[in-house]
Amino acid sequence: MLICENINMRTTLDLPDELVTEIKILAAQERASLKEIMSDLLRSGLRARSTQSRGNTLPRSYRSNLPITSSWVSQIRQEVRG
Amino acid sequence: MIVADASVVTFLFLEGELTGVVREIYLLDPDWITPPILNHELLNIFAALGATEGDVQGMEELWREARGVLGSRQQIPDPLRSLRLGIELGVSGYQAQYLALADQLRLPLLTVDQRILELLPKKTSTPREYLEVHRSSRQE
Repeated sequence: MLICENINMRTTLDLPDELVTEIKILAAQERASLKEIMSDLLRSGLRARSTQSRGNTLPRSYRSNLPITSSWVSQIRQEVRG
Repeated sequence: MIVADASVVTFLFLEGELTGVVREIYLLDPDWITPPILNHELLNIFAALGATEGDVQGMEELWREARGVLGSRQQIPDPLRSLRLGIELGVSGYQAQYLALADQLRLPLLTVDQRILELLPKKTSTPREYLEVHRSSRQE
């Protein structure tokens, strides 16, 4: 059983144990609270349903002043890994 | 269905070198599966770009967009499989998680990480290679 709290609403959901376990693992990996993860997943689910009903649409993209190359992305990834 | 690492997913949201190819793949198949480690990697990439551009709001919007598009399709790879691949191939735990997920879903991993492409040529593909194969299979 999972209890979700919000400023406006508090509700109780009966979820399958394995699903709750998966959500808890995800929360631990992302160092987020259950409330944050659940909200995120629900929003994503709603957006995904909306996207499916509209067909394949491209996500919004960001145009930066910096030329984004594979080398730049690789450099950031390597820096983070140390 | 596609498994892609941060070297590819980045170009779905940032306009740059591979954006055209990557977004064409997304139009053909929007079912992209990624491990949660992608969130950390995207966060680092957006943070680095945000610091350069001085654009906090733009990066926040981009982050929400990325989470909205990919968040519901994320899957957790088997950690032991990731560990084994990391040890056997001598790759980072980060990259091992993408490989483990692709392996358990029996899908090729889309990446432009040269080391990974050379280590596992039969289990990986660049976006351009993938697109060529996908286009030719649709024409047949």
